[in-house]
Amino acid sequence: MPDMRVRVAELPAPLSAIQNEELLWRQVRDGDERAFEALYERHADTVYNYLFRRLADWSEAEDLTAVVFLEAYRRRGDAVVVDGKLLPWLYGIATNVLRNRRRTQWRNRRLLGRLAQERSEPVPNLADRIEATERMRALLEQTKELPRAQQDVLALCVWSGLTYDEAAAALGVPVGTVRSRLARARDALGSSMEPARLERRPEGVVEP
Amino acid sequence: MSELPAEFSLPIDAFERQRRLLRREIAPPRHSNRRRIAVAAAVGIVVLLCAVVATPARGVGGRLLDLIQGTLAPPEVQTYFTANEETRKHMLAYEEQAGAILHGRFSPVIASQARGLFAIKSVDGPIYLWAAPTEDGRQCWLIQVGTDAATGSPRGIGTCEEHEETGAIVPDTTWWADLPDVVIVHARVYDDAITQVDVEVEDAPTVVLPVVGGHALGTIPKGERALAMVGRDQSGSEVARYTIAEAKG
Repeated sequence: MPDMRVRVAELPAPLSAIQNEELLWRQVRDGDERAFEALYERHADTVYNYLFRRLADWSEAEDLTAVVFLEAYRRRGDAVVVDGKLLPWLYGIATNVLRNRRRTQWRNRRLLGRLAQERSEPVPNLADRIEATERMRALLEQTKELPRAQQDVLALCVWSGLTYDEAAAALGVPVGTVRSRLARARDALGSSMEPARLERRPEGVVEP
Repeated sequence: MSELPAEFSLPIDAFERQRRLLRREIAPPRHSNRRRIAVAAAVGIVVLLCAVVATPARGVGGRLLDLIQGTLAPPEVQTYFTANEETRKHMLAYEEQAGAILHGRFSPVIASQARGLFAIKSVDGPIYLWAAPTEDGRQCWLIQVGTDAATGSPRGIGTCEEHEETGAIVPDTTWWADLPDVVIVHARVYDDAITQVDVEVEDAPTVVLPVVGGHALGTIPKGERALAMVGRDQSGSEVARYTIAEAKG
């Protein structure tokens, strides 16, 4: 066989430049701590906001964000990458962390203890955050009668903007189940549900 | 129902604190010198026992992380295959012009069907082998040893089958990857009866490579010299032998 080969540039890749997260995650799985940090930098805010929307508590959302990433690292061998994205899997871990909150908090008590010890700085945008908390509490009040599984789908598909496929991967259920749970949630919420107003706003958009 | 509140970033100090603590949590445990010595001694004993008990001349060509046969290649790898098509066409045209005896046949690669075959952990980092079919039923493959900084595309070397092969094993004898501590050994295996490829190494134990999807892949320590590749069937019988170099002396 003739040796028709094409050499490509031989520079190490900056991890932030790796768009396909399957590659990045493979590096994490191989024990590359920098790759894990790159993923944390990329997704910490998204996970944080998802947790806040499920809890209506910024402080707890902050703590659990760290727990989600630590759990992700522990379960790195089981990661599911959907269309080159790891975020649906992280949403799935976050959903499990919320579901088993006490157990995961106990398991990660050392990390949580350290986070609590080192908390010092005042929270930025405090007034806005208080207002967001009140608004989120009102929203959660309206959805609290829904079965837990429907709340999960509502939070993933409507509040976080995941596709049905991504939500299915996050929850480990078939796509049809996601669709039917969401339909039932919409039916249950009836006219109080206004999807357009509930969907996640693009980043940087501030309501007047 | 009230509106969904806007999103906020993690407060910067919380972000940094979490990052620092996560780094600490996932860092491999540091062992004391005493513990290190104990571990080294234990490993030494195990190695000695293996040397006594195990079948002689059987090594492992890099630790096989997992067989990733069937794993769909990520977009960067798929792009790599299609990006080389123009070069392939150009090279074949050049061969034609030069009056080469072996006329190559160009066939487009089906990059969307590129799949992973191997993931090997070496001391120089992971090594992957990706393969994609061509429209005429042959194969292109890529051995990946890293990722390009600027583009995120895989760093490695690839080739496509464009000529008729007559051998049962075609070893990759151009040890191209300039890795600090290992040399990659690869063979394309065309005989389905071959289930493993033994790499015979001068003054060192033979390295055994499994065959996956018609490829055998592994590593030998840098500085060692591969003498032959031997294809064996399930019973261990020799099916094909390819001599790479003659033993010195």
